[in-house]
Amino acid sequence: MMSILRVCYIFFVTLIGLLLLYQQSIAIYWQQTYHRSMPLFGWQDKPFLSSIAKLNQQLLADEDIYFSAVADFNDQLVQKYNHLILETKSSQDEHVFDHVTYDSKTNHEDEPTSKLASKQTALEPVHAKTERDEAPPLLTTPTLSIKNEAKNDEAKDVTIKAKSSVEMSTNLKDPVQQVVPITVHPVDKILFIGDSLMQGVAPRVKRSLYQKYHIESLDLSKQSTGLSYPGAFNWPKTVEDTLAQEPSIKVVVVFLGPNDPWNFPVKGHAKYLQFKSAQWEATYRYRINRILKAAQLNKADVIWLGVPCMRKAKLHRDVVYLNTLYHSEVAKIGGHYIPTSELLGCSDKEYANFVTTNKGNAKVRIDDGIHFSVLGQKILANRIINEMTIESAEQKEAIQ
Amino acid sequence: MSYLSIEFSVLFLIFFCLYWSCRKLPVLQNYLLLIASYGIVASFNYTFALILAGYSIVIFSLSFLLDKSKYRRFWFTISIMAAMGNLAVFKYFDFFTNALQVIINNLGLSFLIPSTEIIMPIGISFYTFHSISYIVSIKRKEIERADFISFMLFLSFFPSIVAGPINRARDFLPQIQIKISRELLEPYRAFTLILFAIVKVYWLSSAIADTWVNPVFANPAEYSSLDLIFALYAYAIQLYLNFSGYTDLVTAIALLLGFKLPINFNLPYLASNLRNFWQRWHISLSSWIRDYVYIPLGGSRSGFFRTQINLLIAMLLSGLWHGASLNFLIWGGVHGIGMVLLNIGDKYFGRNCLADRFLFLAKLITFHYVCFAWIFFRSSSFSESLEYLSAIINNFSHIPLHFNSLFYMFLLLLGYYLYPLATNLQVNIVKCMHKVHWSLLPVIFILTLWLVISFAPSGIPNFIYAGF
Repeated sequence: MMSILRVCYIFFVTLIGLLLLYQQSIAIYWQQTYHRSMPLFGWQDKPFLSSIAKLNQQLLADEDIYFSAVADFNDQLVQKYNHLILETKSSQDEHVFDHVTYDSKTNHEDEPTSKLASKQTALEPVHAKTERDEAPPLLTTPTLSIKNEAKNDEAKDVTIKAKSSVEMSTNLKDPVQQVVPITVHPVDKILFIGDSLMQGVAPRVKRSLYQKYHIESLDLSKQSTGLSYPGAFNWPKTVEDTLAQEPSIKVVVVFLGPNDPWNFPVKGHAKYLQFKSAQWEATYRYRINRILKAAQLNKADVIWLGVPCMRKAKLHRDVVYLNTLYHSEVAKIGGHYIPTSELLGCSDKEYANFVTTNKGNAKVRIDDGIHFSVLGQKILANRIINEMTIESAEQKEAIQ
Repeated sequence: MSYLSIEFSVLFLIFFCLYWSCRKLPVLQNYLLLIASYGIVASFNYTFALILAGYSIVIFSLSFLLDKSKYRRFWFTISIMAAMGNLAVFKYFDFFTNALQVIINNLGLSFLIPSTEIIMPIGISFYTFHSISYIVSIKRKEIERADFISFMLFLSFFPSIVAGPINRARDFLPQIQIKISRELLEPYRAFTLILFAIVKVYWLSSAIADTWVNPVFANPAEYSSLDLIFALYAYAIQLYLNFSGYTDLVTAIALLLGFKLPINFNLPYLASNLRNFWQRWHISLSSWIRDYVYIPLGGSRSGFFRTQINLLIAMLLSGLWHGASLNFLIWGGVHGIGMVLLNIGDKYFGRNCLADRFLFLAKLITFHYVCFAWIFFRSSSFSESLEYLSAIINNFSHIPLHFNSLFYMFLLLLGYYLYPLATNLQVNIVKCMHKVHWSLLPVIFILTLWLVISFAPSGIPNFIYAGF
């Protein structure tokens, strides 16, 4: 019978060993979860301890090579199958998205590998961009009837009050560009980025667009991500890289925010930037802007979804503030900003998890007070689709 | 707090030291377990802890009346109604109000039921079943009435509150009420189970879900039939790895605290028929349904036809236990109909006629029938299930492969042949551990976990059954 002390020893040594091996990942996880530096993170300054983390990185350095080799082998077999059995022309275009994945392992070779969170870091010109933009007023929303053409769709009975992006942009005090309606051609592709909110919505838009119009989409959404911790996952860089690889992407849909209302660190600053401070806001706006600029460079339209009401009072207040940043930055480039609270039966004033229809109250949020029920996802998916004018399949054939 | 998080690992190590420092005082250990259990429940949401405490007090009081009163049947009925009522309010409230609203609308009335937000507390499906097993055991006089603290701990015991296994009062309460010093049980087996859990949940289940299952289920029309069939196999494996991995983890934690939890899995995909599958899959639930639903309904004692009806009711309830949705009901129904067909086959062709003649074929048919049912379990609505099925049927000829599914299927078939080897894997690993000096074990664990974590996707995975 092994003594209890031995079990303690085995647990303790194993835990310490893993903590040392994965100290970089744990530091990023800690930052994401608790919004401060990990206690005892001064460890990394000790040469011996940091060398253990480096050893881990070196040992895993060739991991990507093996993964790529397996992926190539798979692709070859898939292409042979498609060519021989289906007699389809298996061009690279058909499977271009199969190769575009953003995982902690493949994303940024210049950053330490993280296992508890994906990793990237961007140099932030905080000191260069501290002029505060004039804050736009809070949004109020009149009516637009959401038309839903989908059959067997529970969301079709829901009449939503919302404003078109074109109409809303005229309310902002910032210099704004005219919002141009989005027309999607069947050869165009759509990129979805965001956090777990988007993870619920993007697949429904993707499904609908493919089934009705055969339009392909790329959904890179990843839970627990946002713009505050590029060390964990760097959305601006991911968008830039993806659009550089994928010129056929003509719409970028963004939905994130609830992971962001916290203090965050930036390179060159010893202290974390205080949430809502001028520097914090300037940095955050800069990150929003990088996504928008990448889209513009690729001649892609942007649809940016505002964060809906949240049950927790503090989070709710914070996302209302974040929405003002998204809205004003998107308006500056003539992008499409969609407020989502009213779509989901609530407002900037208070949280509600039901939408009232003529047939009763329909639950649109799940128990955590953040994410959406299936109906909530469908409402938002329909709203995104309604923001675009999509050409028919006949036109697609004409184009091809 | 996830049992796979760093925070839990560190806190558990501290708790472990504190817990065993009170080895001579099992009563004090129970208090520590109770505090830890309520702390973990409160870490999800403090109101969940209050609801659990309130529920425990009510059921304990009712069980006291049941035990002392001359009107045992009355108090038993009240106790069961209280338990089921609590579950109905927190888990099925929306389902009932929606149904009521439909009835109101169909009557042509324009009354809207006011909206109320009710959040389902963590573990409620599991501790409700724990409490019913206690009430039934008290009524049947199988056990003595427990003291308050032991009962509170029986309902809240943290290794099994989040997602089971479902404990029986008759087996578990004696472990709580132990008078002699507790012993740390089978530490090598516990270590092996923890390694299994990390491999299964942290790495394999997450990787399978991210790579194949989630993309395909999100948009089945986009994938070829072979990809869809392979993704369905992948989901069957993902669900098994996630849930059995969770069970391995909590079983190990319980062993390290001196408790034995019931077995939940026994190589379920090696089942030779559906009956056999339910003897191997989520055993603590299926045996609970058998003992507390199927047998009280009459079981197989009232003729062939009534037996099939009882079986269908039991399987439909098993489906609804997972959640109030049409899909879970259909999933239960598909299993119920499968069991009825099996019984009809047994009646006319002899019991296990296929398995006795063509064992591999019987296993293959069972696995595919279970996979077919998983479509309804995984999809978020009935129309999505139909979309998946329709895509399997229609996407053979014109949609190119996204994945190397044909090759993967070949690998799966190979894996299926090797799968029986897993029967002795745990025992063999434990034997190997015994050959290594205990001081070197951490080195082996660190190397193993380093490999596993490096292959695993980023982020802490969820336990699927924690949502039920």
